[in-house]
Amino acid sequence: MTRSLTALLFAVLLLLGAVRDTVAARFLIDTVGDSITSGYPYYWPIEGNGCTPPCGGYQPKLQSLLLAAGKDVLVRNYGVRGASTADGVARIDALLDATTPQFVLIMEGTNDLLFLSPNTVYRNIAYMVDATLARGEVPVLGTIPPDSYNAVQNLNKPIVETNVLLRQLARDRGIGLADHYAALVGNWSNLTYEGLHPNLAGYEVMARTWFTPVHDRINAMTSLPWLMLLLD
Amino acid sequence: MSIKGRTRMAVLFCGLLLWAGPVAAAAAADAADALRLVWAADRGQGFDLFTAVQEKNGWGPSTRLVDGPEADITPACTVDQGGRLWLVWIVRDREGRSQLRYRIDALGRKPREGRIVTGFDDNYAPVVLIDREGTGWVAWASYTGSSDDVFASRFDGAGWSAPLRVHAANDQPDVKPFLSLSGDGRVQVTWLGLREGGYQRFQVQWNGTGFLGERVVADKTWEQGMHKHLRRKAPPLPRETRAQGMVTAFLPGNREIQAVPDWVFPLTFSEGR
Repeated sequence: MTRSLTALLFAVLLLLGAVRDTVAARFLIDTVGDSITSGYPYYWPIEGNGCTPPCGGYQPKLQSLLLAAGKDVLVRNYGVRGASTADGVARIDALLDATTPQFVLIMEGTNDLLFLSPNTVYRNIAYMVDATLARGEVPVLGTIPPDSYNAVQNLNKPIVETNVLLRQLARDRGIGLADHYAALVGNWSNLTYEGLHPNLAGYEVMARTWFTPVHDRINAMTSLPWLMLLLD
Repeated sequence: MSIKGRTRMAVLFCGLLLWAGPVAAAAAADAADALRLVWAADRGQGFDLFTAVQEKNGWGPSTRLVDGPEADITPACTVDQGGRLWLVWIVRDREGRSQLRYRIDALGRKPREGRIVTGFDDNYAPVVLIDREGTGWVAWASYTGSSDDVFASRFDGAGWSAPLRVHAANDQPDVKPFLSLSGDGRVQVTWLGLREGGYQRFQVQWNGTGFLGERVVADKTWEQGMHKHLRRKAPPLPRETRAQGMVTAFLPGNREIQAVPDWVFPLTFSEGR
């Protein structure tokens, strides 16, 4: 009996060790989007190549926040200056095939709304989200930030309309949402570089806005093995 | 393609009439280098349309083409064989509605200008073409309430025909059209359609009564010599502009050369046969 208990205890310790190793594994977080994701104007033109902090706008702060919270992560920057959501559709499959991250942060659409309806921007983003989910990776969606630079083109309404659709998309797919528009719009004039891109303070707000849904998803992923053990 | 973030402009090239027949060919030789540039810019009064013509050492002075209280954006233009500039663009009002408008220059007289009725509030990315018979065509995308679809209309001298959807009705986005002529002179529309597996380029041809023969177009179909030609001919853009559109030019030999918008084939151009 004692020998059996000892063996059982040993097995449990082995399992706990395996779980701990899983928990401690480094998580790769790919950030996909346009020049706002690339970090313009601070790290432009280093873009689209998976560069890691200090490269990027919000990425360095996001990575430091997650590291400070005990999450071993590497945030990679795949933002491409001028990218549209149609570009995102075209590259998402090949990108994820090549990079195999655990998390994909998607924020795009700023470059589209002169040429595409909010509905098509939503469809394109949904395509990228579904491509991520199909690989078993975790997408987190960002709303489109405010745009006072192009206000004279009367783009505010389509941005607001698109963000309504993106929030609904996050709910429909049960994925995390970083609502950058809501986080930035109240103080946009102090958080923007030129009306279109965030300044350093704006990127820090974005990092904090990404942090919560990403942190929550990492917790959910890392707590799952413990849950499985308990269920067993 | 960079739409926002570096400049405030949307730009379209269009070529001037470069050749008027065998007798004029020599006289037109100097003009063969001249291109017309049309773009949208905000100079403190909201977005308006501007134009400039290529000169020996760059672009000539810009002039305001369209000045309205709303945002005039995403222009496209061409020049017919009579030298008249055909311009189409989107006017976006403060409520976010985007109407399709046109303007046909009348060589010194008051230009003909108005709205092209599409039946929808949200219209995008118009393009314009003159066919070999001199008929003007326009294509654009409209949000129909369920998805973006591509439509076309032709100018019969009195006005624009009722919009015709160029593809079968579907629930998927069809966007960013481009007009061109086939080798035998048929008007064709090329656009991007989101289908399973991503965006594909589709094309249909006008057969006199409708657009038929929808097919997927491979990139290499279009990759011919125009790219180098334009790179050599076109001077650097004015500082406030950026390339976004297409070039249509007529070269000696009456070969129509068209540049494909970079949203269809990034920075590639085609040469009509």
